[in-house]
Amino acid sequence: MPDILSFPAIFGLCYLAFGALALTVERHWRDLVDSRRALPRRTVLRLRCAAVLCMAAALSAAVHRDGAGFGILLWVLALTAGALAVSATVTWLCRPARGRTR
Amino acid sequence: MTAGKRKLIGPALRAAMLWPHTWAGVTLGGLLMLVFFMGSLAVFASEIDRWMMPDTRIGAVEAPDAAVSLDRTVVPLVERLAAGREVRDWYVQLPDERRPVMALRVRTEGGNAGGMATAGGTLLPPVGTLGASSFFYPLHYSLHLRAGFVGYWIVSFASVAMLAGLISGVIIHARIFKDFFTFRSWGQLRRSLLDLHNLTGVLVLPFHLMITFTGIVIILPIVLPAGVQALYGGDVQRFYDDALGNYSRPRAGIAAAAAPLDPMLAEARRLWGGGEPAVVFVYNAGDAASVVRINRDTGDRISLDVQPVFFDGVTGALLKYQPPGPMVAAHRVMSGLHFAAFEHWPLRWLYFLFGLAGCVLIGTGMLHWMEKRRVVHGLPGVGWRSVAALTCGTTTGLLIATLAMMAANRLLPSGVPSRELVEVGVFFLTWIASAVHAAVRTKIDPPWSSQCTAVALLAAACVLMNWITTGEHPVRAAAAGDWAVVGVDAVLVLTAAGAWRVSRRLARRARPEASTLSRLTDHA
Amino acid sequence: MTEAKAQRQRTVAGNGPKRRPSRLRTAVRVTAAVFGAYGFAWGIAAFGAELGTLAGMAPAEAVTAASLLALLVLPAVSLWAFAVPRAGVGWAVLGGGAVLMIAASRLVGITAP
Repeated sequence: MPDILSFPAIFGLCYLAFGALALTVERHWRDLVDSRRALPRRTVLRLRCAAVLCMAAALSAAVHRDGAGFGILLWVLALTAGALAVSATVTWLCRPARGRTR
Repeated sequence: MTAGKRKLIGPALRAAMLWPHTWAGVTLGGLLMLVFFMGSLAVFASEIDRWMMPDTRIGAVEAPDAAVSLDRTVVPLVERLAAGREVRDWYVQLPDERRPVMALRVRTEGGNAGGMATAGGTLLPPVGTLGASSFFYPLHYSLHLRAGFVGYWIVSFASVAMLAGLISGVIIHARIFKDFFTFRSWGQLRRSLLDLHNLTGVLVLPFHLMITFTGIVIILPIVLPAGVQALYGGDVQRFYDDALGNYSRPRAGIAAAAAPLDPMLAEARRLWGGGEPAVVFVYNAGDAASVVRINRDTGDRISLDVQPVFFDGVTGALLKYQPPGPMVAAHRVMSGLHFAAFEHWPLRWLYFLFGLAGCVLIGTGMLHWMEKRRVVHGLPGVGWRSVAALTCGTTTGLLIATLAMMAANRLLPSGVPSRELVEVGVFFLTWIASAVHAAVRTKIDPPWSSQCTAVALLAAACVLMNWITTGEHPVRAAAAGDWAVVGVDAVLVLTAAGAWRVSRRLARRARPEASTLSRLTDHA
Repeated sequence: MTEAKAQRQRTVAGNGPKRRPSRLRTAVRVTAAVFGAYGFAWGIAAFGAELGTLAGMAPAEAVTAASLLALLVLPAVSLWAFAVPRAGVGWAVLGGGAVLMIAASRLVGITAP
């Protein structure tokens, strides 16, 4: 993978991982996916598996890109950045809906 | 983990943790804000330096193509800087990717001299500024209080409070996983502030724990000298010599001719097995006990181990090259994690952003305290107003002071005597003025709107004045590949746009007059 | 944990967070958290460094290792001074521990060659 693309790829994987985890949170599931039906247990498991896979892929890409030391540091910080981005997305997606119901 | 946590952390513990969390934040929040903000700037100290020292930019000097020769290029420069006085010690920071010039510092019989020179050996006119690396960065770790390491002690104390605040915050926060991504930017202001406080606190927790801990680790032998007292009789210098493989010896007082330096560079490279020299020190120059120290550039690794190699300055023989033991090596890695001296742009930006996230964490904490107090106590008293003014003075006030210094840097003519001190004066006077403004104008709310307008105008003015005084606007800088200037200008433009939007929104929003206040109280 | 349990008992007994602690008690807690905890960390760093050299570590290594450990402990014990049910106990444990460890490190320093 070209060097210039690998950082967006790592960040994107982290974003996807936390996106999946965000859906396993009851409140976000109701706001974003299905407000009537509760979150099925099997979906939670699948989403968590997907999240773990994405994180593992991001870690391997980061270590492959920069070696163990820098790779792990980059991975940890990219995870945080991904989680912050997911949270911003959730806020952005929920905002108008909440505004109307209030 | 959740179940275990529930057993471990009961409501009583949570209640007990709230008090230290709150009061550590309210009392030390302003100081921590300064430390985090200046630390974030320090990540890009080299880039801000280039912006503040136009003579040293990529466009102004030729890029260093080959390795600099110490004997042919640097030594004559040292003699010119000494101007006939007898040289005691000197050092040179060799050019690197982020600083295309070398920086020299010479200590002579009759005072110190310093300067910057191109890789070709041309001495540049005095930069006339301390820049980010000598002003913002020391402000971050020592508050410029050098005597007796007072600044170190204050910053370390606040950092331990920060660590305690982070830990107690995690204990207090009852619903970490349920609220993991939650930020409700709508509705009650107090809830939005708490959401943002929790969000930055939890999501950026690994970074904040790491950066605060490693920050204290760097100066640990100074602020916790227990082991040094026990084993080295309190002699920190001797400890550092032993731990980091340093070497020193007193002046002999006998003049001796210096050995050529370039072969020492080659030998150091060989000992390192690759890697570039970053700094060369010559102690006791021209003396029989002369010592040459060569530090390795740490840009390619996390560890801050500069692997110093010491040579005899007269014979050129190797005096000392001692790799540190495993614990000291771990200490160096932790220091390196904090310093972020490595060549890694994504990581540098993440450090910058998460440092600013630390400012958001501290700022929202203080704002939340203010809002909550307002709800509980109704009309604000003196204590509330002091905290409000402190919060305003250390958020927007700090930004105003920083931007005012950068504006002064572009506005002051180069001939002003002690130009760098005038800039520093501008920084502190503006800061005091904005704090006083905040204190005087805080009735129901601090003057957020007017201070944000000031931030926006100053940031925009900085970009414009950089363009006018150096002719380098962002587009031209990008074309020339001067990414330092592009980056600083871009962040300034973003700051201006953001601050302007905030100030307009705040001005539009009805001020929380008595009616809003009573409504808020009803909610509570 | 036991502290949490004790805390809960204290809350049940009507000595809960609603009652404002006296100024003296607050001052005792704050000084314990600041000075007591620092003394405790000092004790760990000094005693640990001496123990490390006894165990055959190089002095610089022992000092670094013990100081890092002390820094890890410092914020935790500082918070513990607020969590412990009785403020006086916090001072007693932290101050007593500090004095004990510093004395022990002196002793080791004198007896060791």
